[in-house]
Amino acid sequence: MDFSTFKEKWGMSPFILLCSLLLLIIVPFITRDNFLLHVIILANVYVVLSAAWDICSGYLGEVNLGHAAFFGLGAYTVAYFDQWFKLSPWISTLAGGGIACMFSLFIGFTSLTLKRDYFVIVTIAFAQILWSIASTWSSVTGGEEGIRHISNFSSKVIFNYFLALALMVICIAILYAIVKSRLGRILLAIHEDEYASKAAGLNSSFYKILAFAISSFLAGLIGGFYGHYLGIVTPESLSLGVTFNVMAMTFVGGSTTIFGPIIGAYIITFLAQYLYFFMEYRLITQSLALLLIVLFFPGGLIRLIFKSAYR
Amino acid sequence: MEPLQIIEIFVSGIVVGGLYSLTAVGMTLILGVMRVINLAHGSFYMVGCFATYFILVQAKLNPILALFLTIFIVFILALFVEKLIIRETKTDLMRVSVATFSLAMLLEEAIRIKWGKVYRTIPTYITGTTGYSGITFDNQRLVASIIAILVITGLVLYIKKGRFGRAIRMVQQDGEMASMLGINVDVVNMTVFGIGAGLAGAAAGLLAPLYMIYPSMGWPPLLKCFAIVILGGMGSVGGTIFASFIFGVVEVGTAFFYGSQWAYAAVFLIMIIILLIRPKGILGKDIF
Amino acid sequence: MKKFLLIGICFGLVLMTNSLLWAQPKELKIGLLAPLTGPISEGGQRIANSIKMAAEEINAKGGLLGMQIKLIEWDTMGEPERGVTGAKKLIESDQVWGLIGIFRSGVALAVADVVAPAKKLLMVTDAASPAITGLVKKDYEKYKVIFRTGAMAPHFTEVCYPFFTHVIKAKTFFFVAENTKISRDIYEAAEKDLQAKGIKSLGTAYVDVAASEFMGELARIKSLKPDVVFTHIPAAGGVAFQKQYYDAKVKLPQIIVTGVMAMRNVVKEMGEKSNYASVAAFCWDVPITEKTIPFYKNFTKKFGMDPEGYSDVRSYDGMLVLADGIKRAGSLDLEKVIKALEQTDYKGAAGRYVFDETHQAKWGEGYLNGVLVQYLDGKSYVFWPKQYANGKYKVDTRK
Repeated sequence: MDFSTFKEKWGMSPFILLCSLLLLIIVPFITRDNFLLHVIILANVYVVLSAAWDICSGYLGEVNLGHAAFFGLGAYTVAYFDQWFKLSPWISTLAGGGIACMFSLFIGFTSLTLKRDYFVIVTIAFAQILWSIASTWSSVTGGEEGIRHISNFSSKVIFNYFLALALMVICIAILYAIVKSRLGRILLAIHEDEYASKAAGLNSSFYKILAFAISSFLAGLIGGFYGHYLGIVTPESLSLGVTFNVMAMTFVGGSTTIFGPIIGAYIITFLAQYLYFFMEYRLITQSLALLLIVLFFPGGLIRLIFKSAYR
Repeated sequence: MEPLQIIEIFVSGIVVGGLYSLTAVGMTLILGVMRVINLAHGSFYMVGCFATYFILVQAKLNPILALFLTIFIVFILALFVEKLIIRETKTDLMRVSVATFSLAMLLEEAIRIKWGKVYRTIPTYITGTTGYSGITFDNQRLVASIIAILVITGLVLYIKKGRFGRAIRMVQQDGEMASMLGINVDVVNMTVFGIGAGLAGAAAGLLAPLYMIYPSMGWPPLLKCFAIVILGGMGSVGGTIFASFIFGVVEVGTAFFYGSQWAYAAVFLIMIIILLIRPKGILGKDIF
Repeated sequence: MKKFLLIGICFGLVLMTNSLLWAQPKELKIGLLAPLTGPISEGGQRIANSIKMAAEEINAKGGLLGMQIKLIEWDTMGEPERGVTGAKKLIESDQVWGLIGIFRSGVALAVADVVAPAKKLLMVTDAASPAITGLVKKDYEKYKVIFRTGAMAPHFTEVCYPFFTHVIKAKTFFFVAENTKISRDIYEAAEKDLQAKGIKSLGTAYVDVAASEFMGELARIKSLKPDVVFTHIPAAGGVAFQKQYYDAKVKLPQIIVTGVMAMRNVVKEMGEKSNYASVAAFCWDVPITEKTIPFYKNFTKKFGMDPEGYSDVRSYDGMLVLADGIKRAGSLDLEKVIKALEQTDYKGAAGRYVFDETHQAKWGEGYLNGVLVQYLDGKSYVFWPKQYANGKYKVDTRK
């Protein structure tokens, strides 16, 4: 196997990828610390969320500030399907992705035809409306207490751990395949210059809606897993906080790369959970760090570390 | 429903709208001239409120001085922000969004750590009420609303007539041409950002005594401003003022009939509908 | 010469560390869950500070069963996911004996499902959903680890009853509250109980939690003319609402149940706009028990602000009640402690704590009660119950 072309093609030494994956696989067997496993599961959830967000907001350039809406839609869908239909968690998780995707199609048809920066506002508004409904309509959504006692895949932490890991690997693989395929190049082309792409004969609206739909489907899917894993779903999952976490992670890791969000998600999730020695100063440290990275390393950490592979 | 009640709702709505207009115009100015979405706009308002608190309650200075000092503090803060952060990031929407959001969180947390342990409030400095056959208004609110409109009018006149105002308009129309004509675009942008923030500071000085002061108080005004600015047309000062009044009346009216629990969702729903039907807003110019 | 010095220092260090190890009493680790940052951190900090104050007092008197209490904090930010993560970390990584605190019923309910299978005690001090103790009722064996010294939603109405029935002798009321589940729980209890007393509800107005303008709601209240306006806006909006209530000359008797209007240092800064506001507080600095006034004094001295009388006192008492239970059990065995707690009869700062069969601190005459307070011209006075009263209720008679 020719490592140099692999590195060129994949942007990262296969060695590092393999080692990291192996490490993640071994971890639950060498530690009893369920807290660490829990944090890794959360990190994996955010990896999928961030990488999915990057496809639409980074590659395509349509910044989706309502990403949390699709995550939350997946989570709430799972909660309701569990309550009403008592389906197996596998099916309801897929349904979570599906419902999120459906909503994104609707939004996409109506707003991706507008000029770029309006999409941003429509997505924020959509997320805020959903959040407001989830918090206010307590008779249906449980209000801020949310919906509890959602059935889980398994009560064993290890099962959930490997499921999260598998989902993460699968979703990243899908996204990576898309990025390296013709579709990926089309998205970048539309990002660069939509008019030129249209002139070249591309149906830009179709591709934009497609990217948005894929991004939302994956967000809803992992939202479904999240609902089953935590056993509880609250309006927090629809909040701006989630979207901005995702944004921060993508940015810190490196946008418009697939592995950037992985790094970003892990770093920020671990910092958020482990910086508990100075509980009070955690948030301010995070914000300051994020601000500095945005100012001085806009390419993200991955471009810093793997200078050769990325522009 | 007596006609008196309708009048009360309407007038209350106008007054409330006037209160929102200052911050909203600040946002629309920055949006219109610099084409920047500043997610820290609410934080400027919040910082202004804390400044007003300390000046009025602790230093016990006179309210007019407090107002000007607050505007000054927020203005200077904004100049720094523009130079260090905005200038660097404004070309990329994602970058500017993350940057301003982090700044907003940073300001909020910094204030929370230093002064956020206690809830605070300020006694109103304009006392008494004005009333007419059963409808009463707190004078502070009335005066704040009126001053807001006066300030905005003054600003608009300045931009339309003044020399610096002309520079601003030239930069907004065509930045490159403006710099070729010898205008220092960077200075103009910095000043506009400062003025936009300064308006939020003015709003803080006038409104702080009406509500409670706490570190997270910047987010609701930010989101409301968004809604107003989009409704009225991004970049159009007149449209924004008009939209503020409409917003105020809708808010008060909904609260009267249904309870304001749905107002939040309703506002964003209206925003989406307006964007889809008439993206420019009521009087807006298409700035993107 | 240098060598001797070095050996001497090493020896000294070894002696020091040894003595430290010997002198160190064993620790009793308790996890403290509260929102320390974020929009509700004001309340969260108060809860955390009160619990810490109680733990310090216990430690100063020699600790618990010979051990010093060590509180390990975790910032929940009011989010259930962080609550769950924190509970897991505290239980599994830090090996705490039990958990205390929590703000927001959503977080408490999520944490309940972590402590129950892990068999760790949870003392809830500020989360008022009836669903929490409902869990104990529904599945005693699983959830018996949960106790609550905090109040439950119906108590928020019961603390106001005397205002309706004795002070005003009302026939109708209107409910204004922030738009949270707890407000709805309170109204559900209120509507039913007040109806039984012959008092009708004229309607409700729920306001956004972050709202600051209430002209519409006030216009509606004025048009309906209820005998009593029943207000539950515990957060920032409460001050704005009261200011506008005063300015709009609503003049109808208003009873505000706890929250920011119970904090005297905040009310003082409102000036005349706080006039005629009456608050139903769960505690006040009157001698409800011998611990009450010392608590108020110490709290104010230590933290520079007045207690609210609810989240702070109940958290302080929560720590004391838990300690008392462990002391009476004489051991850290969970079953023994649960049995001991179920037989609690303890005088905390807010009143007498006895748990009912759902592990809820009982409310009522002789147990936990409240006081009704009014603000006028920069002063505050209790006007109910008679044993602590130092003033009479005055109606707003401005022109």
